[in-house]
Amino acid sequence: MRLSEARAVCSELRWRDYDDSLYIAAQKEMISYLVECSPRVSAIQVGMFLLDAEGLALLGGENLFARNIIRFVSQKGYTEGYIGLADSAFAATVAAQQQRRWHIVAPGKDSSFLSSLSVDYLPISLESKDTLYGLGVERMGQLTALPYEEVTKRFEKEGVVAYELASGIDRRRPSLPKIETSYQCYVDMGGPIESLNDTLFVIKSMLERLTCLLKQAGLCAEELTMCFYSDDDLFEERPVRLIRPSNQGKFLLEVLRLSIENRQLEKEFTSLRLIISKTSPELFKQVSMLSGDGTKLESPETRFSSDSFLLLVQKLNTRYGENPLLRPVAIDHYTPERAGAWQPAIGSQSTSLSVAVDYVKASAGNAALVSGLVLKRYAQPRSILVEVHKGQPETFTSEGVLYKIHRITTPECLSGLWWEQPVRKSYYTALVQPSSSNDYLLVMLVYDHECKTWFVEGEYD
Amino acid sequence: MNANVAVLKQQLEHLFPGKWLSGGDGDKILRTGIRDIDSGITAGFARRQITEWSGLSSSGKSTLLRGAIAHWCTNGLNVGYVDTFSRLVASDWAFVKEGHYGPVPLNMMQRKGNAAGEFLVVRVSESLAQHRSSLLNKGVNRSGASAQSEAVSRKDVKQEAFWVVEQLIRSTIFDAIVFDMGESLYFNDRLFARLKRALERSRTALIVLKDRQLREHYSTKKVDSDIANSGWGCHTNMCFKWSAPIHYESGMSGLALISPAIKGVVSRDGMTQNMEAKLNMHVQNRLFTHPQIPDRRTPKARA
Repeated sequence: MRLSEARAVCSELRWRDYDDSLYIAAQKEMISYLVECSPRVSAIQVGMFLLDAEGLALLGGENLFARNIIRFVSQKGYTEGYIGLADSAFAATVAAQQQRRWHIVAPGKDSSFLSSLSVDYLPISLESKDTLYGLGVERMGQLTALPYEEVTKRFEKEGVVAYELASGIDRRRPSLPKIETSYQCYVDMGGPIESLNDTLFVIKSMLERLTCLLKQAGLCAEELTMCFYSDDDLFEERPVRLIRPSNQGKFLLEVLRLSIENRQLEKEFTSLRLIISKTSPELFKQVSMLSGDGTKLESPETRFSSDSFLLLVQKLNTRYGENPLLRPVAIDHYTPERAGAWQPAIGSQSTSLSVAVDYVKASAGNAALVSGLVLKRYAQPRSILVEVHKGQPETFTSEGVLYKIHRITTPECLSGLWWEQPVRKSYYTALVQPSSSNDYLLVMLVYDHECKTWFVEGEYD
Repeated sequence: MNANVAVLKQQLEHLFPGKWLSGGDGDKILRTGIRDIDSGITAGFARRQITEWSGLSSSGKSTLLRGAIAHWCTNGLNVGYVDTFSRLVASDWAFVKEGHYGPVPLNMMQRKGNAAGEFLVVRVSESLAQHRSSLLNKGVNRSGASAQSEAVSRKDVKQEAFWVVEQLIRSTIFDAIVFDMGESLYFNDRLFARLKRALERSRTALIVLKDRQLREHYSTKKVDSDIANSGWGCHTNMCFKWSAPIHYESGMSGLALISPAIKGVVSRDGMTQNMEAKLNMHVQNRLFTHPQIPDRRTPKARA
């Protein structure tokens, strides 16, 4: 059914994009319900659950169990439920896909049940499935009929898994569901609050309580969510992700303060909910005995793993959305604008060019890798009008100023990137003098052969 | 005996700054490795102070400063660079941490330190523009402002840059912070006071990199005296410009390299000192490296 057709049936229908977190939340909720039917419940993928169905002989048998579960799930709003019962988890999931409300595989018959079914059910790559079809193996029974060593040799790890599953061997078992504790605080102010200080005062007391609970449970907050209400109406939900998990109230307060300062609230609020939306186990790292020695200078490494550095990164992250502390790295490319890149100082994998720095230093000196002056590029290259005499640029006009070219180098003609956006440029270094000044400037002049235009791309400083 | 040890420590501090003296000069001053700056009236960059490092937009000041930064990094000091208008090119600075600083001033001392400090850059205008565009994409629009008003203005960028500098100073991680202000010539009184207050609580040396605007025809003496008298509250003022002699290197088919000398005027407490640095450059050859050839085994996804 198309959306327009659906809207014709139900005018209040709303389109929502796929949101993984919503499915996960619904799944957790369903697990908490299913515990009433079986003590061991676990989810293996979105919408698929494993339940322990052992020892049902005295409780009405497997048929009654399946019927009860379908009825129970339907009462919760999920009417399209299918059940498979088997010795192994894989056989049960395949049985549930047989388009019957419930399908029970007789005890000890998993292998024979699976043997007549297609290899498409096996959780292997498309390439491996094609290979199996190419070899004439279309059913799981045909796969298990092959010698185990041959399958292992041909398909390695994936083949072993497929062979075992098709033989009815699956080590997955339902487990006891984990009880999830939610860490959240709610404060009703009793009146509208609009000042930052008052807000921080409330948040501080909420954080004290939450961090105390986190410490007792040996957890650290990874993400916090602030929900602001105005007369029971939620008008802003603000998630704040931390650069490093922490259960230090002072640090968390500082982060929340930054978030509120950077993006002010649309209006005053009357109640506030603070939720620790993601947690992680607290790590206990042994601190060096010398770290408390005030007379010892901090090493650069210590400083860059210190709390103050993390707080700095967190502040910048909160303000700019991503880490703006960058490190210059070289890239294997020859055009000046692409020969390097800016990489976040933390949280990124290094992709820099590996250079034998010591060898280059010994053979060509300190200036070998960075041979030129410092170039400062303009935000956009400035197109210029150049006067050429006998093939050599003599003067140019940029932004209404006439520049006389005193000396200019022979061009460095570079081209490439034909597989992306072709580049054909001639790079000149020119010593120029503005007509209204005695001073000289060194600029990078570029002739772009693709658009047949002269540019000043930057100045050497 | 003690006096000899103190002298030896001072000499070692001169060679490896920030390592040998504590509580004395070593804690207060950062040596640059450039003799004229280290041995003159300034004796380096003062910590907890603002030093102005200025010149025309093209004057050699950043090249000299890169040498000083490389010197600090190889000696284990951490340097932050606030690039207000995102003008730096990464390839020029990629090997600074390892002590490779391009054209070496002939009077610069080359040292190999054991500890490597960090060199980190904040590209303010770029970060701000990205942040604004991501907010617009998410549909978050502050106080109902239109998309037009969310465009990044130079004033916004400057304010952000001041905020970033203040945060870097307050973090007490960096030994030196370079604040590249571009052509924004003046500090607001309030911001200046904030920065001074933050500096007093840290051990950081703040270097303000300013681009002076082109002047009309003046005599050289007039320009120098202007520079000497242009103090605005900074501890030391250093001003640079290209000067003769200009070295030209010929290649196989014409001129291959232009390398002017750098002339500087250092002023502090009403005193001035001239300095000159010649650069030891060589012709670049970018073709030593090559672009990555695309992997033709994987067909490019077509839209």
